[in-house]
Amino acid sequence: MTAALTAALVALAAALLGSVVALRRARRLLSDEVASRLAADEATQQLASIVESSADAILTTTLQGRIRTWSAGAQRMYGHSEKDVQGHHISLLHPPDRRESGEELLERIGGGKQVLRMETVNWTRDGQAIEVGLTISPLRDRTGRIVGACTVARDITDRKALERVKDEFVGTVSHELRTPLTAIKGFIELVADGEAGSVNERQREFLDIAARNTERLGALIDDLLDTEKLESRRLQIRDEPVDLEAVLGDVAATFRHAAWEKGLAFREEIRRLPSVAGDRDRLIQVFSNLVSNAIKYTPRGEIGISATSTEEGAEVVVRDTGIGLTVEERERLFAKFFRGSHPVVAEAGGTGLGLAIVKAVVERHRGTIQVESEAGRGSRFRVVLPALR
Amino acid sequence: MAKILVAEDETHIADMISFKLSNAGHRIVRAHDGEETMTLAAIELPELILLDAMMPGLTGFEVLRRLKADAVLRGVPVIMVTAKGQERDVVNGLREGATDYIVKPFSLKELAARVELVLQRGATPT
Repeated sequence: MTAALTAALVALAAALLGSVVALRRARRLLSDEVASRLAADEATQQLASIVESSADAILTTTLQGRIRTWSAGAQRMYGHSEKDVQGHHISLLHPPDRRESGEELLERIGGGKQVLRMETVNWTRDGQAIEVGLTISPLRDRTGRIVGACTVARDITDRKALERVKDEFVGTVSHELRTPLTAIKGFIELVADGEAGSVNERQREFLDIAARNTERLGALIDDLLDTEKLESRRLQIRDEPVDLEAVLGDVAATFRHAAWEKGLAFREEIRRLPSVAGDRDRLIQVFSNLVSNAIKYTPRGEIGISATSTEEGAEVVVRDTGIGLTVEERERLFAKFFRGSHPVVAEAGGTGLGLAIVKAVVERHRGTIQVESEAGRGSRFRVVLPALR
Repeated sequence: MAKILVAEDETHIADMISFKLSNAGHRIVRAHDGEETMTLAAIELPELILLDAMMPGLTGFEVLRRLKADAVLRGVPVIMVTAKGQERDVVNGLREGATDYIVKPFSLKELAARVELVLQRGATPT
């Protein structure tokens, strides 16, 4: 055997060894890859069973609206099987007189936007109309490109029916409560005005007290109905440009005298303010409520309204040197029917709904309201409203 | 002194309105529902109609439409009586030709004042 042959054999052995090492490494990589694919498969299967177990309808479509996947929930809700709908256009689920291409919606999805809780009417295989709440999201591939849409549909028919019952109830209650109230108020007025015979001073005084209480009852009914509507988000709040400066000016003009009559100073510092988007009457209601509360709960000292424009919009502060709030009262202040325990509160009367309504209206205007206060040291209510865009 | 048709299904409310307006010197005719309102309006030819928005059977709104569709009766001014929270009714009522409206619970003095105002203005031009 020559040295050359030995050298060749050694080289071959080295090469073989290198190959074995490389093969082992490759095998390791391969088994890692297989393991991660298996894990991914398992994850996918679990997600698939989550989708299938959902009571909501979960389906995917192409960007042209053709149905690709169809969950068990979708079959239960709409009655169609996956075979029935695959490849068909999503408008299959619309009521026959409202078959839309859904182009606009799909365009939004294509642009990467989501459609949240859109309420609409869909049509089942049996020709039944169901009311649904839809959430539609873009579906992306591995590279992040949008390739379709995923729709989750929830059957809200029951909820809508309940809302209609409540609406009718609110309307009926409104009518039923106001009717006897109208009669009570009317007849008290007739007697007090002497139209049913002469009345003496004391009789008139007593009747006035009764009349004032019918006003309170009327206000309570109004507040109750307002709160119910606000809670169910069905209160009609206009969406128009509102001159906030003018609103505050009107409120100040309304309450200035009441403050003076009580011996309180009334300070106004209303700067230039941007317009806000919303409902002028409701904003008047908000600030009237805050100012009238300030006056009600301040035995001596002063009331102030100040307003400045901020980066975002406007900040309005209503402050007083009145009875203030304890920590517990501050926490529960905006809750419905909450009334403080200070004796002044009981005497002043009121429904306990004013601030709940104020908060709800402010929030519907996309604003915030906060209170700073200390028992015995007055209160500051801060309302922030975004400017009209 | 005018002839006023009060269309109101609630007896006591009709009573108090009639009492007040009679004392003010007017002649009152009363209807208890929509159908009766149409009938009496045609027979009595009142100078003003006080129309409750919510009545059983034909709604006040329906009655208003029919009144305005009638060649003879459309000239009679109508004041609608509604409850608060029915703002849409008010807007619709005014659009359909009601001259004015008043919201329950109302003060009788206010009602009487509006009645006088509407009567002074005369019948709505068609």
